[in-house]
Amino acid sequence: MATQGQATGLLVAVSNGNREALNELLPLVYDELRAIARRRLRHERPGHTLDTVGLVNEAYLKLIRLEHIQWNSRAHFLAIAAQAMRNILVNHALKRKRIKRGGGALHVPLDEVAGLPAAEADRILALHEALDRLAVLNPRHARVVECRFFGGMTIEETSAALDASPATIKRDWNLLRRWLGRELGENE
Amino acid sequence: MNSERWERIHQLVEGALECTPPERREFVVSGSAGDTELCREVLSLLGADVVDELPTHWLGTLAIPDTDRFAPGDRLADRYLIRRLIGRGGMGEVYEADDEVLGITVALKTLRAIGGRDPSSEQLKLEGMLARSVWHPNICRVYELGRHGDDESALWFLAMEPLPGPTLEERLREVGRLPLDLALGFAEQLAGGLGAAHRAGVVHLDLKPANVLLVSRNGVEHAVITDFGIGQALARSDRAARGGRPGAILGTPAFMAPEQLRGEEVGPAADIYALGIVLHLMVTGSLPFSGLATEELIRRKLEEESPAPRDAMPDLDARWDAVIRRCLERDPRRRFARVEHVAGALAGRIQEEPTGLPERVGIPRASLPSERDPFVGREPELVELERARRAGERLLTLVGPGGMGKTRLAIHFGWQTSDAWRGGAWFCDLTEAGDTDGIASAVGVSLGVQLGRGDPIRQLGHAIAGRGPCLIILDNCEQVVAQVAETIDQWRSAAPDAGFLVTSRERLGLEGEHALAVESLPVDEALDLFTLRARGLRPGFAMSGDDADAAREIVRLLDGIPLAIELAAARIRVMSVTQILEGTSHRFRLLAGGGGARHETLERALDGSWELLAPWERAAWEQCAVFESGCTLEAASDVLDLGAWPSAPPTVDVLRSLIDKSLLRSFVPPAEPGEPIPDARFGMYVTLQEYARAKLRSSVDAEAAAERRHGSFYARYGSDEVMESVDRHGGAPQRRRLEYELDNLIGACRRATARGDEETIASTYRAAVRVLRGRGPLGTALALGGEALKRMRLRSARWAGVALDFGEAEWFAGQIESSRTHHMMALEFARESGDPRLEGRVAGPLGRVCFFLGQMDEASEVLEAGMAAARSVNDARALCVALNVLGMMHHELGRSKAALEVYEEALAITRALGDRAQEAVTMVSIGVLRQHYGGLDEAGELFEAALAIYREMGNRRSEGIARLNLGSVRTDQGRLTEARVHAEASLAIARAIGARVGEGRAFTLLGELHTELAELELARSHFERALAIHRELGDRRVEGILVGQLGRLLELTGEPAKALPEYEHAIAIHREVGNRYYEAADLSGLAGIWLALGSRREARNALAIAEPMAREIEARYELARVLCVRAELECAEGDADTAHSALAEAESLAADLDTTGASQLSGALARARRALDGAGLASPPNAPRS
Repeated sequence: MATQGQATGLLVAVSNGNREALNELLPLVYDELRAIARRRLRHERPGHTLDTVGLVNEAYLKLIRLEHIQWNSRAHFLAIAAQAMRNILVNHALKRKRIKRGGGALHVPLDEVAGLPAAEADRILALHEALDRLAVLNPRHARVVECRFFGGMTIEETSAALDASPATIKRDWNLLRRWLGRELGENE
Repeated sequence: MNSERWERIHQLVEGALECTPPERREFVVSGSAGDTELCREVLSLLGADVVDELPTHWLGTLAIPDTDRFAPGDRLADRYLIRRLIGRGGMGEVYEADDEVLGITVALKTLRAIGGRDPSSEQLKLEGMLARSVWHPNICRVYELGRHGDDESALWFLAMEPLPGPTLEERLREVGRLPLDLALGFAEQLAGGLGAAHRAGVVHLDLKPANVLLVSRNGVEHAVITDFGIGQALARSDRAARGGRPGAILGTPAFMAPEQLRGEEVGPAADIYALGIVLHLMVTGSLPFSGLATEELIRRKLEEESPAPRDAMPDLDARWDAVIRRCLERDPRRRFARVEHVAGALAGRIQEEPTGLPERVGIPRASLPSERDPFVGREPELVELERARRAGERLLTLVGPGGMGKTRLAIHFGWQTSDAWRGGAWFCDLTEAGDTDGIASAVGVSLGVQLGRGDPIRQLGHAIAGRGPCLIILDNCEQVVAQVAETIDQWRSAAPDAGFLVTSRERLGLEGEHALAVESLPVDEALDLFTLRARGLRPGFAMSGDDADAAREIVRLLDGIPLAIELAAARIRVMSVTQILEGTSHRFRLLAGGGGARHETLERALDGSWELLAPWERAAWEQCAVFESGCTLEAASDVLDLGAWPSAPPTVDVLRSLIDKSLLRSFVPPAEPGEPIPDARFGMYVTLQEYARAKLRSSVDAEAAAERRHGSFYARYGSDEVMESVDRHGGAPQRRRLEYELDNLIGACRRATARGDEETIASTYRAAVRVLRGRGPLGTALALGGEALKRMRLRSARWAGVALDFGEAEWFAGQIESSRTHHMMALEFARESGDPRLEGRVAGPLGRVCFFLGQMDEASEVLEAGMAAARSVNDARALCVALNVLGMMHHELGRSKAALEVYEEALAITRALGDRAQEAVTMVSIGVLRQHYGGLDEAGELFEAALAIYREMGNRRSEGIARLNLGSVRTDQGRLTEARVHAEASLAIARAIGARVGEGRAFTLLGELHTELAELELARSHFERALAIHRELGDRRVEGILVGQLGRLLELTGEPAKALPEYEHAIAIHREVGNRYYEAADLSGLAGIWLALGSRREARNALAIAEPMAREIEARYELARVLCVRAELECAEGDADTAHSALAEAESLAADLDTTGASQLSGALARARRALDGAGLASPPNAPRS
């Protein structure tokens, strides 16, 4: 697992606009999020569920040395985590479908991916594609959905990560939470 | 849905939420103003549940192991055993793995899905195939693009050469920036690798320091590029998945070229841009736009010039600063033409021309096919060729039997010496040439010359001469030796600086021919060839002592024939060297000990490869022989019929396997600078094609069936849909595709004629003529169509369709009378068979011919009827062609208003249709009209717009013409610097394409320009050169205009007595050819001269003809000039009133012209006024002054 120092350095670089660093940080966050989720489910009582905010914040505390970081870098981190959450879900949904079709000689016992019903995998993928289309219509809107929905970020955190006023984000969200409702509802 | 609409939805939702729930519906209904879809969309959003967070049951999946990753011991694709994870990138993970089939270690990189779509498509396989074939020390070799799993959700991966070393990115992060000498070394290596790939038709599209490995070889670090072709493959596959629409941005924005960010199709220029950014980063330690958020970065890249490297590092070497800036030009055409030039310019080896004419006018620098794999041996031949070149030998012939590798040798020599030929090295494959027109066609394509109506060989001679020292390679001449000899003889005398390299099975027999026999390879070279080819197919292949003995025996048995050796080496994928030897010696037992002729050896080697093929591979290969000049993957998939073998793999895999066996080759046709790389093609060297064709022929049924499928595939190219799409905006790739298929179209048409398949004849002929009338040679179109018409049933609509296209070809070939006959017949049969669509299409071309022959009434009648027919079937395109002809008629007859109206209608139609070609033609027509009648500013705008279209379409001949028109307007406007740029560019174009008319007109323009600059001697010499060209061409009309120009020049140099006969001569010619506009102009000049010489009676006579003529044809500018002379004349005669009224009319005419036209007249007006003042005849008080 990555050291705190490495992730912190990358986050500083990302906050300064270095896109390359993002490519390196993203997999670290991706792995960390999954590790935390695994640990929690293993140690906690049956029936206990995970929550997005808790997951993301724990990843932040694990990966980043707080004393080196400014407040808005935290927002950047959360936005990256939100992106990672989206990636995890999409990759998983793709894999679920792959198994369902019986394709690929992957060495995965079926029960390991049974966590996600096939219909849910379809919903995740449909949402993912809808988000891609939304990004064409308004790139900020797609990012807002990512931050708020996938990352569980607050209006203020989203506003800091996307460099837009909280009022703007709030207005966007009024539309987008309905958009989400519709996109997810349609597939039921 | 678009952004604006989404924004509108947002506003409405927001507004509605501010209302109370019962009011919302009404607010939305009224706010969407009758747009029911908008209304529905907003209401559905308002009615949706709100979702604020992820469903918790989704989160459970986070805990499940991510099995896209592989663990040590996993096996991929039944072949690769994972050893360990060695890295992770944006695209996927990289593992070290054992290739259990070949017993070597590879680096294995998984490719993540893009945006949820798996990158699976035939296209991806094809690109992978291309990337795999690039071979260069500075490129990390890709062994295989494979996939794990076999359905659509399979995982794709790359097996690559494992290279130890840090990435350039890691190094830069460590040290900040690099010293110049180290950076120069890396820059040369990167440019070398990119150049090799570009020549093989592969672009990188994701070059960045993270994709560059620094590999230590003999203690020296080398930059090696990884991930080649993957960016291209993914981008294309993503575009294909989106139905050709620009896809998501794939790549790293900081390194991406503006055109790439816009999602356009991109070519090598995008890699040159990325290389520029890498250089910037290497030497300054920073990116040109650094510290920006992605959106802002993209916006700045699209809208602003890149900041100079010296902004980041003021003491940077000036040369580096300039080279990097050139790489980072926003317009891809302004960057270096070839990536190799970047390294040359950095090292100061190449005196790079500033972004100057040759590149601006878009003339490519060479057309040599790529060399996909390393060239082996042939040292003595290469040395001899080079010696002969230096000694000034101008005709070299490589003579030898098939399979000796003459073509490869010629191409290699071309690349090796390409820097020595300033005018470029041009490769022309004559395999399909059956006659002189075929030779012209192949050479025309290679040189990018559109062949006009004159003798194509002569035009090409001029085009070759226009390029200065250049190398023309004529490959596979054996079937047209006599014609090639004759042609080269002509070209040698036309172009004294050009060199010719010919490959043929026999020599040409010309004087001064230096023939070089290409024989079998000596054993050592043959062994090298065997080893290298084997290594290409089986990485890491090395020979033990026994293997070496066996290989030596193989090449001996194969007589050192390169093709035979390559075929044998290709078996290394499935056999050991000794097994190959066993197979070979079995076959050659009878021949062992020598005695067999070489062609027999080759034949047996081919038999050997043939027998090892799977049945579907045999079928595919022999059917491939039905194509002429190769085919695309799409064509192969459609034409090859492997239906008899249900278990056969997909076509693309069969082709790939044939390529691996050296029986087929894939290549990429050369692209123009700044154009995207075209689709890869599959083809065969001529010896293999002959063999495969003989195999196909051995089954008559199979041959006939393959030819029919070939015919019906290419018949699609002649559909209305395709024909229309090539002229539309963005139709350039489609147009080019059509051009690449010319040989197939001709072949399909010929065979359809032989079997009497009229439907295929009509469609393939239409498509072939569409290409041939643009780029020639027209002789081919005439021969093909003549044969077809003879075989078809007369009086049918199909006959009429072919006759229409045939008549078009005749028109472009200058056979006007017979073009009229064919068009008339087409019209008659179209009417007989009740086909108004065809009637509409015939109208324009027929009207044009009649008009040209002076049959005005007939022309009007045909046009009227045809336009009615076109309107009745809504054929806007045909209507528009007819309108353009009608406009031309009005213009020529001096009915400028009517002409303008007709043209404006045509322009509106072309714009609605999106027919760019017709739009440009119409704009030029209107521009000429405007210019003649004094609207210089408007004319200038129209020509500029037409020029932009021609450049976009890559139509060089028309580009040259538009530049001439533009130069002429700019001269009239006094914008002489601009005029000069256009004049010189059009001269360069005309010379490069051998367009003599254009060359003559460019000299004329230069003459006019220098007249304005008062450099009269220079002007005269330009006019005289132009006159000589037009006399040689027998163009009386232009001759007349030029003679008049010389008269005007003499008048200006104060030699009226000498000017007089020139004007008279000019006027006589104008009358002879009916050129009334210039007759009026030169008559006014003549009147002025007579006046100056004191002969008022003669002056008056001239004016008596000129004035009514100028009025009749509504030439305001000329009329004003005539009136000025008249004022002077009346003044000299003492008739003050008439003089004043003439001057007043001239002044009011001048006031009506736009400012620039008026300023042109000011000299003549001033002279007339001076004359009046001087004669003491005071102006009336209310005379207008300008």
